Amino acid sequence: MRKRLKAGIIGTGWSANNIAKAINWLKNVELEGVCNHKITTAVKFGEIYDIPFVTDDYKHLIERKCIDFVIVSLPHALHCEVTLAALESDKHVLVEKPLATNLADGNKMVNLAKEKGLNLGIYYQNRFNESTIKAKEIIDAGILGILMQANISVFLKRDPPYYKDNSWRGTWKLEGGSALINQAVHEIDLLMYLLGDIERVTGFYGTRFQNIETEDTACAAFKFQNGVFGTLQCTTAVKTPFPPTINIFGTEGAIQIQKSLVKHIKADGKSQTFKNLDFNLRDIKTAAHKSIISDFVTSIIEHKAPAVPGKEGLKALEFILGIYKSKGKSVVKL
Amino acid sequence: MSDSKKILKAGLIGTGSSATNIAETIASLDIVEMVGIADVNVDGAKSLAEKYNVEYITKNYEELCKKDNIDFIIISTPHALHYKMAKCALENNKHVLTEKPITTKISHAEDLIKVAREKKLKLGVHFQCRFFGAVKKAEDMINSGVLGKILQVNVSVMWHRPHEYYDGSNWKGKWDLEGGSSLINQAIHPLDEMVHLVGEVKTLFGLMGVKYHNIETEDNTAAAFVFQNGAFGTLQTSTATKAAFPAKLTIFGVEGGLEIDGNILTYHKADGTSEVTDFTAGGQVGSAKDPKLFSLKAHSALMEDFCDAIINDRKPTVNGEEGIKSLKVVRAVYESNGEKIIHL
Repeated sequence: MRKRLKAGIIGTGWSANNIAKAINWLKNVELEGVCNHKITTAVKFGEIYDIPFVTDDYKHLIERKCIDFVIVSLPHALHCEVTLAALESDKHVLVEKPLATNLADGNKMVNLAKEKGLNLGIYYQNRFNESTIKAKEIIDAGILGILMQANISVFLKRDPPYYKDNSWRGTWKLEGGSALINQAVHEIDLLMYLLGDIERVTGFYGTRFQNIETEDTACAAFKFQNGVFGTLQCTTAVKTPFPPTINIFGTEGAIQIQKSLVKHIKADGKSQTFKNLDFNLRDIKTAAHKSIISDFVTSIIEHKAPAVPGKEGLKALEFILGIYKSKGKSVVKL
Repeated sequence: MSDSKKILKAGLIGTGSSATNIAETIASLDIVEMVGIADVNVDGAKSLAEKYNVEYITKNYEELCKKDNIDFIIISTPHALHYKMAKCALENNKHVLTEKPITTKISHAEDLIKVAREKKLKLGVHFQCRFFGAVKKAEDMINSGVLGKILQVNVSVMWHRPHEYYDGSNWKGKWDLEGGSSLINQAIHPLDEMVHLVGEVKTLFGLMGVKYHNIETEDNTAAAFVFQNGAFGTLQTSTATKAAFPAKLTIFGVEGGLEIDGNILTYHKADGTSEVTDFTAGGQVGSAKDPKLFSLKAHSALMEDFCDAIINDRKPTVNGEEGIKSLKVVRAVYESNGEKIIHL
């Protein structure tokens, strides 16, 4: 029988629930511990997901010998401190997106993992979507011709309590931004995964509707190193949510990615749609979450790098920080 | 119309596909008749004149502008020629209706606006899409606040033109004649609708380049911008993708969103449902495949509006000040060129 690893989860929010469900479903990993600074919340989470060790101090969790790796699912600005501490305690770390809220922190995390010979993974689960795999296959096959343009649109509905009931959200200090760094970050990661690094960007952002200090709406235009042009629009303020969409155009065709779907529009105008039948964010017995955790577990067991290593998380972060820096006033070279 | 018997006389410069649509439109209206056509290609002028029973033809547009029996001049020539021809017409005391774009340079457009104002002449720009039912309905909805605060706007014109489209033209794909390509030519209608419906752009960053065609202008552009009212926007244009998408203007507010595709309006409501209204009945709609198919119903509405403006001495609905707005966005993208932020 294959080895079964023990995981600790730090943080018990929205994402942590998806992660815990996925771990309980997987056979090569089990949840050993959970931490929340409010012990009652940690206890409740521990009961729901049948977790033996519960604490309100993450240091107690990372000191626990039997734990192989921890998953950091905290307010963005806390990722760095907790990740560094876990690495120092010789735990592998799978950190939620974004990697950090600034590049210095992100680099520290990546460098320490390298020094310690530990695995640092970044939780971009959408890279494991069948739609992403199909899109990459189409792009890499070159059948879109000369690649020209890519557009991201992420129009989501976040009701005011989403920000009001979670005091860290909507703050520069803890969330480090909002619509871009929290929501659009997934599509930005996918686009950079599919088309490569971005060379320059200018972005505009502001708070149009939500009662927060960070941005609820943003747009940007950018150029990839390979010359492809891109645009991005995101908001958390629409009441009419739209499936987040990525369009990629070449001279000979285009693809449209909408979460679980990939539509390939061909030069003759005909199109072919590929659908992930089992993709559903709410049902965790599904592709993306279990895939990313399973890959991370396997990477530890087999002493190899995870499919989405921490340094990959620096890319989308650098791009987003470029937009924040640009603020519609300068062209930022990345 | 206050005086339906009053017939205006128009002269047309240019005999391309847009000019033919305009000639067809005028032939269908009672208020105006075509009395002269000018084109350097005299055969083109001759055949259009024969088809629409126009008495006077010339290869010299200045001659047409000087003719006494003409009330207004319609200019349907390569973009960069609009300025000198419009100026000549205004100097000869003719009202001017020019095809889009108004000109290829801001200074040229401003000069035309100034001269028309000084001489108390009408200057109109042929943005017939403003008369589309879909655009009028969108305007009503936005003005009545149905969409709530506007958050995001997008213009997407991802089309394909075959190589022959440029190779077979003596003016397309050239900076000194077309003044740009995918943005100033193909995307200008939805850009005009955008500035009309959402307002003017304040600050912009744009990219442009040639990816596919053998032209000196652009066949690809992308831009991000912020409007004077604080809404955000992006645009992307191309004439080089065979995976053509419908040209679309998308406007999203807090309470709902609109998509305008030609003369079809889609309303995305806050409850998650959508409502599609097709205003194309009675006219064709512009399509990605055929640039010639634009509704002549909207052409008629624009022409009648312009004639009424002359007769009743008021500003045409799409006047010079309106027509320059989309050009400002176009020029900002070209000037930005991936290097700088442009304040409009």
